[in-house]
Amino acid sequence: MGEHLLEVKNLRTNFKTSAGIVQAVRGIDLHVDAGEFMGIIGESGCGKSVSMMSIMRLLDDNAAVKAEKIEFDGKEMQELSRKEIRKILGNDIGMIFQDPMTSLNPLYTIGNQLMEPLMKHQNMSKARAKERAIEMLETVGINEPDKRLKQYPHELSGGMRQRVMIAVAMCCNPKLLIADEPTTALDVTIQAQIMELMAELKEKFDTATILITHDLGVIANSCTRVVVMYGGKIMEEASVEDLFYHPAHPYTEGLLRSVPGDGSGSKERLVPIPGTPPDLLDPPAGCPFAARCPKAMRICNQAPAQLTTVGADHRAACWLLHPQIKDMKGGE
Amino acid sequence: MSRYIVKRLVAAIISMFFLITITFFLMHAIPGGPFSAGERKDLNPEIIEAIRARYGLDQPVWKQYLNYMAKLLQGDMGVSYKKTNYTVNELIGLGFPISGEIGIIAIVIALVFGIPLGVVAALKRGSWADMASMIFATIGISIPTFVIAMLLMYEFCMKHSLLPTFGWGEIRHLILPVICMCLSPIANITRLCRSSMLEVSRQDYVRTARAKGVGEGSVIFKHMLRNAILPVVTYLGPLVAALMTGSFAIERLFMIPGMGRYFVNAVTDRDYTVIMGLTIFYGAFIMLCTLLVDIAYAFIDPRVRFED
Amino acid sequence: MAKKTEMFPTVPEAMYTMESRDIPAELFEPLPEEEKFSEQINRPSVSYWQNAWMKLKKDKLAIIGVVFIILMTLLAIFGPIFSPYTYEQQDYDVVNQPPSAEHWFGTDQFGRDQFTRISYGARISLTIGIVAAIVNMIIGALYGGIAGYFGKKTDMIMMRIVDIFAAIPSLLYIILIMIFLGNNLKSILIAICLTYWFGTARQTRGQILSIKGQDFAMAAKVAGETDFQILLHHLIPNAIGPIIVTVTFLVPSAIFEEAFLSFIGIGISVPVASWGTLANDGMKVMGLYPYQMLFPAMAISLTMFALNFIGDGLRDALDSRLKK
Repeated sequence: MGEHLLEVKNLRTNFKTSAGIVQAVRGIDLHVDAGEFMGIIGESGCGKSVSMMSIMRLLDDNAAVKAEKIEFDGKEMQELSRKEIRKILGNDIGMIFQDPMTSLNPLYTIGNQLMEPLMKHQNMSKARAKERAIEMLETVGINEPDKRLKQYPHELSGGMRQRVMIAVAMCCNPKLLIADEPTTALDVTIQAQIMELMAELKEKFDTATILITHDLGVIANSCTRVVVMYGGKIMEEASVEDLFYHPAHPYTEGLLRSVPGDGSGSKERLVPIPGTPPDLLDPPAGCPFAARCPKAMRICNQAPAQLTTVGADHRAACWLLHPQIKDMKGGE
Repeated sequence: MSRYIVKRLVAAIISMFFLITITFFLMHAIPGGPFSAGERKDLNPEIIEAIRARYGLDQPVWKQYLNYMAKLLQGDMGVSYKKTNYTVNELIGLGFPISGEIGIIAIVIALVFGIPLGVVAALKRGSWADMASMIFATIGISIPTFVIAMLLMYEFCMKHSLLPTFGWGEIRHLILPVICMCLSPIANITRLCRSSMLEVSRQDYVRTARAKGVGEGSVIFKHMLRNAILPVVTYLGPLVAALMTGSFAIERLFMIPGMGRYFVNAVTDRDYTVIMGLTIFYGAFIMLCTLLVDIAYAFIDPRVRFED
Repeated sequence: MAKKTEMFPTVPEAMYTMESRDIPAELFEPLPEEEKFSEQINRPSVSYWQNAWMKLKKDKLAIIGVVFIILMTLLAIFGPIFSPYTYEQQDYDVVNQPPSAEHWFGTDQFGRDQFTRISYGARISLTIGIVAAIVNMIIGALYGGIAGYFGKKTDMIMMRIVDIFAAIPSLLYIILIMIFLGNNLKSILIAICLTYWFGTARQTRGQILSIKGQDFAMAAKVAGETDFQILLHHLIPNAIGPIIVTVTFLVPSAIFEEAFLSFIGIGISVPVASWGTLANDGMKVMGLYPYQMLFPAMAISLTMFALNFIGDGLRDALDSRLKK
């Protein structure tokens, strides 16, 4: 293929802990095309952030990453040295993290932290980097940018800091932006503003974006394609429309039932998914969702289902999609 | 900033007031103080009475207290009861430069060794370098300074006569006391630095720095070390004060004529004016060091500057 | 590379995949409810203390420390009882002897048995360490707990008082109190107990402040429990882990303080033998009889080692931030 901006095949990430080996990501395939806005959704601990951090090699030493392929922009990331990876990070790939309150170094000014990647990757002079930093702060909607440059993170509100983080991530015009729960730690009104800003920037710079979230609402408003993760595996992959209107996996259905409706005023009750996510220290042999699945079958506990095509660009990993089921139903 | 300093100064003055008052009344509450009738049987009562009158000891305690405070405000801490031809100020003038010299050398050595050891241990967590520095640090905090001093003295002075056991004035006289005094600070700084580096390495902003593609050197020195050094800076305040005002045990062992030895001698001699004077000096010096360190802290950490 | 394979346990080949067409029909029957959560039930739930104990058991250094302290405690209790000598009994026929079968650690300049004196010193040191720790924990936890729980003016005044006293090094207070009360075990204990609790109080206050708004405290309040009941039964027990760690480190500090004071000659006075006085006596003759300095020095150092190992182990075990 090769036309994808980022392509990941069979990615596995394990952590060594005192209790044993935690299998956080258990063989996932992903791809993002240039200019695409993709979402990854799942409960906390399902491996969505870890998979992204694995690709960027930002995990601690107790993590081990293995994949058949992690190709970004035509380069196999696993073959690159740390130095070469550093040339990509912050330059071709920008990242935004969950908590803007702790993501900026408290001891340096906004300007200092914003100019750092510019001077490193774009070989800009200090004066030029400062100009660009002011420009970026304006772009992300921060007023009085030249004054803000001299301020420290603690002098800014959470929303402002996340804007700064976005400016840091976007300042080198990256090909890919990874946003790891960028709005989770913010107030609802600010959340909307930040998502709006991200959509705007995507239009302006045509940056491919991966949005990691556990919030279906955020996905619905911004993404074109969505990947649903659970227990370190991909459960479903579809366009936003398909996901919301024709979910193929019981987990996706559960997720949809557990959020407030689409504003149509339906009187449907919110249904939480019972149970807790599986323990990845000792992951279940079968489908990770089997223990909580209302439609679980005996086979679900015995073997994992592989992703199966449901429709155009729509795949799901569920035994309910097995051809034998259709045969049985047809036979009745 | 200036408001902060003023506030801290006021707090320090209140603490000093309490320290002086407590010390004063403790000293005077001890039965049979200096020159009381029972203490000096060699002198006849009239002479004792005369001495007591000269020192103002015949007056009621509250009046003595007021007198002492009034004199103290003028910087006069009185005359030693035992070394009667010295004032307390003179004793401090003699002892402090000597203790200070050893102290400063020990602090510099402690920082030069402690910080790199801690940083390396944290960065290479679980490696032999980490193990070695942690074992060294545990030894450093576990074995009391006076025990280390005795062992070193036995090894270098008695068994091999490489270094003098006591004396003052030459560089070789400095070697053992400085080693003894800096070992436990090195150990403490190593441990502090290691744990705060580990703490900082888990922080989101370090991940942000890595995600920006910043070089590893810059991640460690710019983004981690400056944050990790803050607890060490806090520790430095009391440490500088303690080392510069002289170690009681070391100065006694190596017979160094510093402040620490004066203090211990004063305590065993019950030389109350000297005990009081040195206690006040210690207290004031410690508070000064803490204040200076807190100001230095504010220069490293911008978050402190804006708190009132 | 060997490390890498070990990090990736091989996943057993699944019996069926989506490609299989021979899956027995009964496997497509609904999964019975009781088989769903089986895995979670089998995993024992581990409480905070069980978890801490499991971690502590794995910490070899901490276990060595615990064993050493137990041995030292036994020595402190039984050493002086079973020894044929007493700590003050002088025997001028056997002055300054090296270690032998009769006198395991040798004798001092008055012919006193060093082993008996050191085991008697262990009594003093361990008593000081334990009493200081317990008293400090009680005073500190109550003081800090009250300040943190009632907050506002109470907190302000109580913590200002602590600030004022804590600004001055405890050694100065201890020496002043020692001068006032005289050189004996009781006054050292009083001095150390009076000055060490500031840290514990500050820490407890911080802990209480951070948990007093949590649901269980609210629930207790709604249930009509009094402030002191809430503090004693709910808040302090929930904050006790980190406090125990701090207090553990107080034990070696207190022992050190006594040894140090006795060493510089303002601690426990003769003929009672504390490790500090023994070291001091030994030092005076260490050129001639190094054993007299060596054994007390070793007793102090090894005990400090053991206690610091225990402290480090407890901190790792009880600090929930390191749980991951």
